[in-house]
Amino acid sequence: MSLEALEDASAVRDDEGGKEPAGGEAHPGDAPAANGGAAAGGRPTEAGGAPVVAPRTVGELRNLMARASRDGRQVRFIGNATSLPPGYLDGPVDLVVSTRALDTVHAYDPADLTLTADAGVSFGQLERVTGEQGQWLPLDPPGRARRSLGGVLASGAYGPLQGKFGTPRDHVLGLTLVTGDGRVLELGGRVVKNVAGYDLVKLAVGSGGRLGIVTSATVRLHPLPVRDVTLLYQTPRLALAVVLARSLATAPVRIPALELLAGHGEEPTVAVRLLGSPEAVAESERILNGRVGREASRRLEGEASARWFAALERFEDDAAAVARVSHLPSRLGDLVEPAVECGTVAAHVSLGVLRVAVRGPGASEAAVLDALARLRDGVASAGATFRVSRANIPRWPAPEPATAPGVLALTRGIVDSFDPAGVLSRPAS
Amino acid sequence: MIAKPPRLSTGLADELVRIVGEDGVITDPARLMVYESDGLTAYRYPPRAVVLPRDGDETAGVVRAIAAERVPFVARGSGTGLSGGALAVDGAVVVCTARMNRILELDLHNRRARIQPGVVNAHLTAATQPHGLYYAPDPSSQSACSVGGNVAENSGGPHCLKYGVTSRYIRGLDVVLPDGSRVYLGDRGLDTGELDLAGLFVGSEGCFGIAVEIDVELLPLPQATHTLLGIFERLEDAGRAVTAIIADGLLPAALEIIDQATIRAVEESIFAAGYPTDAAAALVVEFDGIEVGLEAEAARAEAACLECGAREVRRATSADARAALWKGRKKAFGAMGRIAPDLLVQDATVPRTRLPDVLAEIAQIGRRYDLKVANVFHAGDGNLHPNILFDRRDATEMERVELASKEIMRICVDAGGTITGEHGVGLDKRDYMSLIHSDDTLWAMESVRRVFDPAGLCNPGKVLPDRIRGMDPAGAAEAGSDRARTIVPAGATA
Repeated sequence: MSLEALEDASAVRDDEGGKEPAGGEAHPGDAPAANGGAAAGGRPTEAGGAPVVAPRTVGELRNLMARASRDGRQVRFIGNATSLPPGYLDGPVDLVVSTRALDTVHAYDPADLTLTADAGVSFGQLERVTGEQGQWLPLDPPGRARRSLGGVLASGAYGPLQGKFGTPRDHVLGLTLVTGDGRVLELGGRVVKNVAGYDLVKLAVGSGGRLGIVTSATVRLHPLPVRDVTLLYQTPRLALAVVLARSLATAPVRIPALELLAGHGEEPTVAVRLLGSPEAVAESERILNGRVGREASRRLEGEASARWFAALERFEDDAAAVARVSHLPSRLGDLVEPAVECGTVAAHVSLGVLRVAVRGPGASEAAVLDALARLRDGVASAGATFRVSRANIPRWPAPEPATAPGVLALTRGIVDSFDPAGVLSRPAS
Repeated sequence: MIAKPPRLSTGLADELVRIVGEDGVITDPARLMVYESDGLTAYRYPPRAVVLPRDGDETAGVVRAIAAERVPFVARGSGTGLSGGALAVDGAVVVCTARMNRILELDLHNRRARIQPGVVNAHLTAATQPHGLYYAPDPSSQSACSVGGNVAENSGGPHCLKYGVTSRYIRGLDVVLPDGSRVYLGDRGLDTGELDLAGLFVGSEGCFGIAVEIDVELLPLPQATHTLLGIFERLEDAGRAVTAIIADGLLPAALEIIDQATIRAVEESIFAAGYPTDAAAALVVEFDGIEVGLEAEAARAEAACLECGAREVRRATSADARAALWKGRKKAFGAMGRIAPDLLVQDATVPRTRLPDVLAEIAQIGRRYDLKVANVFHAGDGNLHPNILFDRRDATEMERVELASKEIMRICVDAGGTITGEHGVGLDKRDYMSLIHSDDTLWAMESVRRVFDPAGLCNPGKVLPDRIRGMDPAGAAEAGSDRARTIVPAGATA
């Protein structure tokens, strides 16, 4: 079994006895890409019980999916497999398809601020390529550096920078999707404004491998900001931190990233990241300090600012489980209190989304389940939605929020049209 | 080509009156004429009737009643659409949202508003401005167009260069599906693990149902705005200035070009804005945000314009002075109406760096077909509006307009662009869809449409070519990799 396949599996399975959870760098070159895999006659590696194949072309992938669909073989997709949803590889899986052999940056036009790359290209690689031209893809999902473009798009994962730049759906101009039954769909385009037909790009982004596999995408880039400043406001009392965070969130300034961190005996911290021209950043800083009536406890600039937020990208790394809780931003206070009782909290303040990490690795399975259940019940009374986005325990019983019947019917119909044979993962309900 | 629509059955007419009241149902042919066309005036389709519900419940009742009789229907906002998306093809009943124009809730703490679809775009911003907030998408028709229509078309506007288009600002939608059932499509798929059905619905051009309540996100008003107007001797220079500004790492709120034909039309009209008529192009550059940063950004943009050959750059910071600089851009369409009886507003997007080549080719096409083409466009986005001036009473000119349009679409697609950037496909561009999408992709769109509207009653005849709408799922859905995918028309055996 390849190192990467082991990493893949360790993120979600318990049968890798004693292995560290996937926390290190990815090793895209370590495993020989199986040529077309089992279905195409190559020598597959394995993830858990199922062989892993890494097609090198869209054509191979199309053939593979068409066959799997015809033969009714269950297929799952992985990128660098650092952030698979809990239980994604559970159940009968016949074949795992990896995007790691799809690893080319096809087109990069700095003057147009657009880039087209394969799904297997890592965010670290994208950062290097675009950084050389003074540009970036301002998307900072958990575990960014080692995640693949395709994986982030499939999961819809995002981070603090959504406050200004949006989530993956807002960055993607177009993508190629190989459907569950092996159709190759070129969706969207390469231009920043495009309303030619129904927006199936939005449907594919965040679809979690239910419709097919994203093989490449064109994304919109931005110029790197001239000034990058992080302001950290610390306060001993959580309630005060919430008031401070909300006060900043309603300031008459657009804040690119605004996070509240709390829990595990640490002093609650409100983190603000400001990006832009030196003058605008300095003025924003003045406005924000004036609004909360104090200076920040710490001020980081340039590399140090970027590094602080890069460290926050690793917030979920050593967690035994991560739950996401969301509500209106103004309800932050109602959610943070119960959340810190169950784990450490990182909240996207202006969006009203809390990530709650139950820390391992010492935490027993029973303790993790207990913490998640307490959190679920604690936030349910406030009317928030609750979802476990990551769990390194064998069986989270998946009490996902109940989907409205109308939404469920539409979802089923859409999923059926992309995967008529039902060979991809389906929602539990 | 105006076909008379079938009459509404007495039973359905009575039922609609029962739901929305006597004053909410229009069947008088003279009054229906208002609804037979939208902003794309070349087409006329008189509707069977027009119904004006006042809220979501009435809309659901209306749709249920219409669907029960298997009568097609189409939602319509203010009728400002430019692709024929709200035309009553197939004798459809128009469900007009004009009476659903209330702002239901303004949630200042969360910077959101819940509104009815008939709320006029500019009215939403007017209502939120006193609270320091505004609604960002600003289509040129914002003083008339409805947010419901913006949702259907995923509308843009000059300022979406910096702020993004409508879909970015829609948090959720309460939708009446084509069978009359209600469903809430929410939160852009964020943190629910659901498919982004709200994102899919935005831009579905009224084919997936009718949004009866819309949750929108509001932004804090920018502290200040600086506007520049660059005057250029050559259109290509203005195009190069756009690229230079972006290459300098600047992100203006808007970057708009108007060409000489448009400048002259404006200056000869009552909208004269003081643009020099011998100039080949005018470039509007706008920055907004924190005031102290704007001066430096404006200075860099000014330098970029001058370096690219601008003969003059005017700057404005006060509201009045800014309005004067914008006037020529904003009144361009109104002014063009004065120099020719008809105007075809085209819409396509190309990669920004291809603008100079594509503009030159468009000029050539205009000359070849002996047509007057005037360009007004969102240069920063590469979103072109080559507008063809013509007289529909001249049959041969109509034919040339048609051919020139096709060629313009073709060169935009060849340049790596697309057939519509913000106006939508509607009725007008269905046949261009195959220029950019494979049959597989078109069929995937049709399959999704059928999930929302299996009976095919909701805005028929739009977006997809008829041959795709008529496809047989048995033929199209058959899985297989080693054969060319063929699509079987309805009725044929697979």
